[in-house]
Amino acid sequence: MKKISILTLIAVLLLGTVSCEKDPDTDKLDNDYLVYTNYDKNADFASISTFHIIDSILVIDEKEKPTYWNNQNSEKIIEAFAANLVERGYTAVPAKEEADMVLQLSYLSNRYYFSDYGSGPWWSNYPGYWNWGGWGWYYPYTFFYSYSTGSIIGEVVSTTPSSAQKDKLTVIWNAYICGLLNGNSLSLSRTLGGINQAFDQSPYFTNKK
Amino acid sequence: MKSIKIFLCATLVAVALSYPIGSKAQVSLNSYYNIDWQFNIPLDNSFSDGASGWGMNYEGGYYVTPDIAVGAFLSFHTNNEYFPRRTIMLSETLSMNSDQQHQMFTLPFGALVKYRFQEADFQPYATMKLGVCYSQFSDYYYIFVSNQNRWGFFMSPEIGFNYYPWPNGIGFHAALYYSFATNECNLMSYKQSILNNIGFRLGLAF
Repeated sequence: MKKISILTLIAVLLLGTVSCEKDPDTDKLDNDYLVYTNYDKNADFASISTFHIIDSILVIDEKEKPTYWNNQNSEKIIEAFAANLVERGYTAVPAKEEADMVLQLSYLSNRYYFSDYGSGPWWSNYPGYWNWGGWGWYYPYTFFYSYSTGSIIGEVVSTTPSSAQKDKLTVIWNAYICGLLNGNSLSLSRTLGGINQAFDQSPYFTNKK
Repeated sequence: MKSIKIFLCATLVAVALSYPIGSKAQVSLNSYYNIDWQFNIPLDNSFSDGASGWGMNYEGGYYVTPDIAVGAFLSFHTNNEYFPRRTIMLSETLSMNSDQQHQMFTLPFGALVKYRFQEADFQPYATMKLGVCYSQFSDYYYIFVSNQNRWGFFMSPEIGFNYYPWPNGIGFHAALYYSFATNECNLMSYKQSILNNIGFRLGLAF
């Protein structure tokens, strides 16, 4: 009888040590890219004809002076964005002054510096971004990002001055693609997959009837 | 969560210390305690529909008449569901593509009324539990997690039995339950206004 009692007490204590909340099985997550896209619901994507892509990817890092990413990988990333835009019916032009919209690309290699530049149109404070004769930019929608290192940010700016804010140009579409690192190096195939996914989940972004 | 663990441990120690080794059926003739493992199945739950056995139930009561007991209960449970990669709309214009792991943690507690159909070694019973329910909804995606905590009203009818095969006060407990809680979930693109569950419990009776 005493043996049963002791076993019971042990069982009670074991049950009592069971943690309340089971940790989720995050191993099931595929650890592939995460893609956000957002757009200006007042933008008329069907009326846009031409685009220009800034030929360098700005690197957001710890350096005070701007650095740019120019190698075969960055070229393939720019080409992937361009190919998607062409597929959507838009025509590339060589000069940004001739374009109806301009795509600017950034690569986030340091979370601290990125966060330090604020949660709004961060590049308005970051040194080195391309300019448009002193015009500013504004987002017609709320930012909703959780930034992480190893991310590509693509932003399409309409070159037509905004009617809502006359001294600024409107960011009519943006994409945030993260989860692109394999260890410390960029996975190009995952990056290109994320870029294609950004356009796949933006069916409104076309001028095709 | 740490305070809950401390509370549960304190409860268990209290039960263990009050347990009279070598006594007859039940801790005393007028009181009972149950400690159970439970298996919970969410019904029509868009946030987390996965059945699981990650939960426990603690309850105790006092028989104010030979057949009717009043008491208190506390239980907790975690239900997970994996959502394969897909695109969801987070607002009218904002979309997100990722796979997700959802977790729904519920912790109801409150008062109960129990009716046992016979006072013997085998004691079938029916119980009604009323109380409040704390819930935490979590959405894990990539390296991020979004959470939402809610409180709601809780109600749960239950049927089962306590069986005391030995004269030392230790027995077995089995139960089937349905539970209803008014906890709302409005997280990411997922909306759930009511939590309905069924399940069963297996454990020890004192």
